[in-house]
Amino acid sequence: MRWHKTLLLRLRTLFLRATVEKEMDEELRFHLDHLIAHYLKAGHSPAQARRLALIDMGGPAQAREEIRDTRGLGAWDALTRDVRFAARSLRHSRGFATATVTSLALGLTLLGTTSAIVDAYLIRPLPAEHADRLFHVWYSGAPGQVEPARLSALDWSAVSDVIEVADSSIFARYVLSESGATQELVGLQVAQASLGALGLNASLGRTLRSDDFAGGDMPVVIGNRLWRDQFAADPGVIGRPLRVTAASSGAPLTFHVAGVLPPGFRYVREFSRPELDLVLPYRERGRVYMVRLREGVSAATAQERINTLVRNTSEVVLTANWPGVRLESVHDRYVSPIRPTLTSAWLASACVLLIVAANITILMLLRSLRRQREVAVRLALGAGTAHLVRAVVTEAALVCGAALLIAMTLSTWLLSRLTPEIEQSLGRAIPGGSSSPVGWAFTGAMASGAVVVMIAMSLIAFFAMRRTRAGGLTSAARAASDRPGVRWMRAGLITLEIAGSIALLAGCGLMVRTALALVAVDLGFTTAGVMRTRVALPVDGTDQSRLDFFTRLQDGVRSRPGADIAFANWTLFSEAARPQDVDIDGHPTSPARAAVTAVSDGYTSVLQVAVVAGRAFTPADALGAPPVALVSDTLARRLWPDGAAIGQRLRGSDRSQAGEPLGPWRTIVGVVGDVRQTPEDEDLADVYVPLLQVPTQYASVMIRSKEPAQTWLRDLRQSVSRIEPRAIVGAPTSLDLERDRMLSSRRLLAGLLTGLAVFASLLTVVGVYGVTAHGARQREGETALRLALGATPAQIVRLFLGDTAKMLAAGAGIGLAGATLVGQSLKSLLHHVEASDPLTVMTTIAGVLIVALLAAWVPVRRTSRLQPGRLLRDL
Amino acid sequence: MSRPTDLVQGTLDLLLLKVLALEPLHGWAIAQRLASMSNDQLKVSQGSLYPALHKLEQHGWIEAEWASSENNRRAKFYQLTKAGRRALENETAEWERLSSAISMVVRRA
Repeated sequence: MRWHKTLLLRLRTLFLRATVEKEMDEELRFHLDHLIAHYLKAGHSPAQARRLALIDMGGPAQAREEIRDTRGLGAWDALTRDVRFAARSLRHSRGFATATVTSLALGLTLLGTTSAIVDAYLIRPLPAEHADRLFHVWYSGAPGQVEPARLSALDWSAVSDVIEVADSSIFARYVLSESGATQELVGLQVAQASLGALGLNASLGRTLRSDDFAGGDMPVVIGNRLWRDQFAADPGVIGRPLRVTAASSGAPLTFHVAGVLPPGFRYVREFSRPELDLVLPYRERGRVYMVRLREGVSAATAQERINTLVRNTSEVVLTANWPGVRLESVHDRYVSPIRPTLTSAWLASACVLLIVAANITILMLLRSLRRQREVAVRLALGAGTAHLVRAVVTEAALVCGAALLIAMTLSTWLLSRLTPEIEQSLGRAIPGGSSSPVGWAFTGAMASGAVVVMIAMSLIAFFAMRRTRAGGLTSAARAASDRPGVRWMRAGLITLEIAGSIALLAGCGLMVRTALALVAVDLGFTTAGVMRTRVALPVDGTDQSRLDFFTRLQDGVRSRPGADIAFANWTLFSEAARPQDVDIDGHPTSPARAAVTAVSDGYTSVLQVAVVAGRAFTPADALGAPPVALVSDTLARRLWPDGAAIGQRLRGSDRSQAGEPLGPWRTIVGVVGDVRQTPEDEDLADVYVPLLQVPTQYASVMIRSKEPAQTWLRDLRQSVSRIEPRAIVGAPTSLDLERDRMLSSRRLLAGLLTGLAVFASLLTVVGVYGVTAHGARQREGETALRLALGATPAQIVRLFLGDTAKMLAAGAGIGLAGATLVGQSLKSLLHHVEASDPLTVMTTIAGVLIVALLAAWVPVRRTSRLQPGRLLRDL
Repeated sequence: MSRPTDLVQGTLDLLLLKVLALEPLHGWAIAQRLASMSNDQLKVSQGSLYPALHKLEQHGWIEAEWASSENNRRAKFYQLTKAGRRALENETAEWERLSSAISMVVRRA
C-alpha cells in the first residue's frame, strides 16, 4: 500500500505543482501567523512581533527550498533548467545540432530497419506450434537421389518417445473448371497426426477436426485468395460444394467448404511456396517428410532412432549403400539462402552506426574544445563539476533523443512501405506476416544504439572539460594547442572512420561487381522477347496422346508469321538441373555426370542456342524414330577432345525408383552451345533428349512472338482447349523478368551497401575536414610564425598533410583487415569475384585516401594562404 | 535552548513520530507540543520542522489532511500511518539501544 501512496504523492508534486506550492506557502504562513500571535500575546508591538517571528522562522525562502528539495521538486527544476539550457546551446550551434541529429537519425534508422528484418526472418520462429522443433527428414544422401521404397510402412509410434509429431501431409494439385476457365489449385492434404502442429486455423467457419479423417464427406478449408476470387468473399460459403478434378488421377471430386484460411496461410514445411488454395484431410498413410521432436531431444538422437526404425522395418526396400536419414531444421532451411544477405546488411548498418558514432564524437570533441573558454568561465563562477557533467549529459540526451524519435518514425514508415518489396527480393514471405517486423528487436536495437552514442558523446565532452578544469581559465583563454590525449583521441576516431568506410566500400564494391558479373554472364541463350508459361496435361494420357498434343500445338503456333514455340521438361531460371549419371557407350570415363533435359526441336531456335556441330532436333525426332540426343559443347570437349562426339551413344543410368529399367541407347546427332539455366549455373555438361520421344505430363512452354503477350496467351489457351480441353495453361511471364528476379536479392544488397558506403564516406569526409580545420585553426600562431620566418605555403600544406597522412595510413591498415572480414562474410554471395579481390580492395583504399586527403587539404590550404602579419596580430 | 542541529542525527524524525502518535496535529501545534513535552528543552525552528514533516510524508510514515484548526483556519494536519507506527517502534528501540550505549560510555569515563 505504501509505495503507491508515495507514487501518488510524487505524481501530485510533479503535475499539480501550482497547488502543491500554494499549499506549502499556506502552511508556512499559518505557522508565521501563530508565531506573530505568540509574540503579540507576550506584549510586543505588532511590528516588533512580526520582526521577531520572521527571525524565528529563519528565512521562509530557505525553508521553502528545503521542502521543495525533499519533495523532489528541486531535482525536477534542475532538470528542466538543464534541458532548457542544452536546447538553447544547441540552437546557437545549429550546424552541429543538425549534423549530429540527422546523421544519428539516419544511422539508427538503418540499424532499426535491418534489425527488424533480421529478427523477422532469422530469429522469430515460423508460424506453427513449437516451430523451433520442426525438422525435415531427408531419406537420401542428397535431394534428387533415390529414396528407399515403401517408407510409408514405417511405424512412427515406435519412436514416439523422441518424435512428438510425424507429419505426412502432402501437396496435391486440383483443377477447378468453373465458368469456362480452368484454374489449377494447390491443396495440402493434412495428415491427422499433424493436425495441431501446422498452425492451422480458420478466419471464417472452422478448421479441420479429427472426425474429418474418419471418412464420409470430404471437408475442405479454402484459401483466403480463392475465397475472394472465386466466392467474392461471400460469408455464406460455408457448407457449399466445391467441384474439382484431381490433377494426379483426373478423378472428379466434390468437397464441402468447412472454413476459410487466414490470408497468406502457408504450409510450414514448404514456407517459400505460395499460399495454399485448399486444405483437406489426408485419409491415407503416407511418407513422413517432417517431424517435430520432443522437447530436449537433439536432432542427432532423433536421426539415430529413425535410422534404426527404417533399418528394422522389413517392408522397406533399402537402396544399395543407403546413407541413412538426415534431419534438417525447417527454419534453417527456409532462411539459409537469405542468411548471408541479411547478416551482411545488418553488419553493414551496424558499421555505419559505428562511423556515425565516431563522427558525432569527433564533432562533440571539437565543439567542447571550442567551448573551453565558456566552461572555464562557468567553473570560475563556481559551477560544480556535477553541474557541468549534467549539462553535458543533457545535451547529449537531447541530441540522441531527437534522433531516436526521428529514427523510430522514419523506420516504421520505411518498414511498412518496403516490406513487400523486401519479401519479393528475397523470394520469401516474412514468417509472421508483412506487418510483423516492428517489434522488440526493432525498438531495442535503436534505443541501445542511441544510448551508446549518448554515452560516447558525454564521455568525450567530459574528457575535454576535465582538461579545462585542470588548465583553468588562463590556459583556456590562450586556447593552447591540444594536448597529446586529445590529439590521440581525435586521430583514433578518424582512423576508425577511415577503416569503417574502407570496409564498407570494399563490401559494396564486391557486391556491385558480383551483380554486374551476374548481369553480364553469358547464359548461352537469348531471353529478350521470349515469354514462358507452363502446361499440364491430364494424368491419364498416353505417350502417343501427349505427342499428338505437343505436335498439334506446335504446328498451330508455327503457322502464325514470326512465331515459334519450344517445350522443355525443365524450367529455366528455377534452379540448375541436377547432374546425374550418364552411361557413355564404350568410353573409359563412363558413367559421366551431366544434367539431362528433354526439349522440343524449337528449343534451339526460340532460345537462339548455337548449334556447334551436327544438327539440332527436328519434328521428326519423335516417338518411333531412332533415339537421339544432343550434348553441350563442354560435355563434348570433355568426353571427346578430338571432336568425335557425333555418332557416339549414351543413355541416362539414374533410376528414379529402385529396379526401374534403363532407357534406350541414344545416338548423339549434334553439339550445341553451353547453356546456363540460371546465372549461377556452373555445371555446363548437359545432355538433351527430344521431348517428343519422352512426352511428359508437364512442360514448360516458351514462345517467341511479335504479338503482345495477352494476344498470344489467349490464342494459346484457345488452341490448347481445342486440342485437349482438360489441359491447364499457367500464368505467363517473360524470361527477362525471370532473369531479373534471380538477381534481385543480390541487387538489393548491392544497392543497400552502395547507399551505406556513400553515406559513411560522406561522414568520413565531414570528420576529416572538421578535425583538420580545427587543427589548422589551433596552429594558426605556429603557421604565422613559420610563414613569417620564410616557410612557403606549400611547405605548410605538406607539414599539415603529413600529420593527416599518418592517421590515414593507420586507417587504411585497419580498413584492409576490415575489408578482408567483410569479404569473408559476403563470400557465399559473391560470383566471379574473389572475396579478397585485390583490385576492389586497393581501388577502395586509394579512393578513400584521396578523398580524405582532399577533405584535409581544403582547410589547410586556406590557413597556409593567410597573411602572416594579420595572423600574428590576431593572436 | 537546544537547536535541532544539536540533536543527535535522525532524532528529529523520532520526536515527530512520537508527538504524532498521540493525535493528528498541524505544524505549529507539533512544535508547541514538542516544547511542552520536553519542558521547553527542545525547540524546533520551522526551517527544520517542515522539511522533516514533508520527508516523513514522502516516506509514507505520516499522511497529511487539510482541516479546520482550533481558530477556524485551514491548516494541514499530520497523522501517523500504519507504516509510521511500525517505524516509530523501530526508531524507539534503536534510540534506546543507542542512548544506553552512549550513557554507558559517558558514565564509565
